[in-house]
Amino acid sequence: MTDSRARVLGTIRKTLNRTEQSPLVDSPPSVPSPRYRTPLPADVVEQFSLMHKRVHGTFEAVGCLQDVPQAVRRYLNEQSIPIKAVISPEPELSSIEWTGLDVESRASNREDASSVTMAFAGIAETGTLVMVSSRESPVNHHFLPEFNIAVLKQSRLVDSMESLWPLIGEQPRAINLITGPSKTADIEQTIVYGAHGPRTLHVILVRDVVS
Amino acid sequence: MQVTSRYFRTTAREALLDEDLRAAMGRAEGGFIDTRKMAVEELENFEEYREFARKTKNHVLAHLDYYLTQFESNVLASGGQVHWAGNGEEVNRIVLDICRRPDIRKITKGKSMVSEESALNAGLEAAGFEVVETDLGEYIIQLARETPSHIIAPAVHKTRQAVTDLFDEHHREAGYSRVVERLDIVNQARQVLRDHFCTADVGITGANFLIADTGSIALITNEGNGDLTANLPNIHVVVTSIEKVIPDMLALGGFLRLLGRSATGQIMSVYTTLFNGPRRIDDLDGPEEFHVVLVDSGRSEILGTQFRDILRCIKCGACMNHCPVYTSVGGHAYGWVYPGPMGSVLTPLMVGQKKAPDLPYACTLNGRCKTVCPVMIPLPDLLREHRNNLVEMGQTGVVQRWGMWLWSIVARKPVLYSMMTSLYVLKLNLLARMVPAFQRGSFKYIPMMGAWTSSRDFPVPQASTFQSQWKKRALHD
Repeated sequence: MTDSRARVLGTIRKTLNRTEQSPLVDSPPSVPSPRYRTPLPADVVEQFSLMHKRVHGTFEAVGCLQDVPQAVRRYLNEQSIPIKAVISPEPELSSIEWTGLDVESRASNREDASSVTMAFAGIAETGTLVMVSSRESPVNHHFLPEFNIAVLKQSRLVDSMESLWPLIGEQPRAINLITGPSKTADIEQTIVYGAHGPRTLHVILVRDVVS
Repeated sequence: MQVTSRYFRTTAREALLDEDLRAAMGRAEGGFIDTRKMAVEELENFEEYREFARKTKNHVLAHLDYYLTQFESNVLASGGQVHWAGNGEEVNRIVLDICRRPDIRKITKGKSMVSEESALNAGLEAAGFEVVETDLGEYIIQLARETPSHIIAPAVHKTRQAVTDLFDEHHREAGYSRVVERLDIVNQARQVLRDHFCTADVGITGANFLIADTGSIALITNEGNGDLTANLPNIHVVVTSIEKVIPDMLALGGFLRLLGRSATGQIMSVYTTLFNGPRRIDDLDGPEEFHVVLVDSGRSEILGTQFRDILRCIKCGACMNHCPVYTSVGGHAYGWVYPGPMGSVLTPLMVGQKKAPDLPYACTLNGRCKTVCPVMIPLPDLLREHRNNLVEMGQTGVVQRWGMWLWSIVARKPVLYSMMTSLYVLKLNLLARMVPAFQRGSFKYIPMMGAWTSSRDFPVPQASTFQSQWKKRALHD
């Protein structure tokens, strides 16, 4: 295997007319900023909600964290599924009083029908949720349950992916950029939602920014 | 994967007569083109992104050893393992070595075209492992014992009826009923594959980009199967190729604005995941081992040729969606992993020109692929390059050689050329006037051109040649 490494790198250097590691003399080109023909709404919340709904996500805004349980209850009721959920073992979600809801704070398994997660950030340009894995944010919550509810604080909305990267410090095991519920077009090129991941993706935005 | 590209002429002819294939491809073509167009038009400076992508890939290719070693050391720093594979045999051996443990039986797989190159599934199955493809399209063709016919829509050639029959045949024994509606088909696949996800010992996925600066693997899917494959088993193996490395996360943002739009007309695919090594010590889920297999298989050689541009390819499939040849004959006719224009360039380079002599000719030089390519690969030019090489190698047929020789003589004498073309147009016009059936505007058969008209109609020409019309117009002006 070490041989293969030497061989592959050796061939690359030979074809690039070098004998040893290439020094990086020039820096990579810089990324353009996007310009849209129909400008996106100036307000990031409006922009996020618009783009998120375009990819079949659902969206609502609440005043504070304590309003979340009621919104979750209402949402699960609308879906006609049991009023219970697995939640991420995350300090803010754990600090909420989940009255009238059967919640368990742990990693998810295939029996869990719905999950409530805390988004690390949201990207307004594409309506994308950003999930950063940790002990407090297990990854399977975003994929195993059929119904995924994500809590997103307004203060964590960024305009574009370019503004996201500086917020992430040390690389976690996984960064999940999630844009809408799971879907497939493998049967007759026609979209069906709920392929392997969640069938629905509901965002509860918490207005923690004083305007 | 076995190379059958040398039979392109035969398989393409058969494909043109396949009614099911025509129905499936006809449905797909329009959809891909329209959705891409809408998504691209929204982004006013899409062209600026193409230019950015072309320059970035060129920059990386010119410093490929630098970026690969940077990527490697960052994967190692995050606790992952890196394996280098010079060719397909080495790929299969490396993955087998990782999997050969007493407690490992079932392997789930996310979509990976690189693993198709070395027929990894067959290699694993021969060693006694159960391998389950989890992308719906890949799962369908695995049941049908076929190969992908498109790089992002592997089962694009399958009709719904065919899927219904396949599922019935393979799922009946487990107690599933026959499903006809799309939603029911997807639901059944979801249930069947859920069992596999949750009981797999190893998950193998591909990668869309490798980020040198952080050692991250970027994996992009819509179904979420890639993530379930990567997160649930104890071991995650990434099989990927060396040209996929990019400098950093900022560059990734630029490529993401191009990839979704070009591939499926999406602003952003549903799941874009960055993986960095195995689970951390206090994580509640994730694999305990994380392996990256970096595959060369001839790419480092291509780097030194006039075909280097093809290594910019980000495997979006836009070139094949816009190719009249691909959309007529489908992907299987191309005879190896990569079909369409990018495949016709890449296949001869990876398997040898002698094994795929017809692919460079599976092109009308209409240039649509080049126009839509998000990384600006001059595909028709590269195909022409292949044709030149074939001529120089003496790999062209007698009819073609003599035909071209004859044509070159006539074309160099304008008077002779215009006389002969005028005569031909006259002949066709007379024919059209004499036979009432031809008056509808196209010939179903032309004497001495039977081969040409056997699979397409020839339009009845206007009364005179382009040159004589042009002359008349010039006189009028």
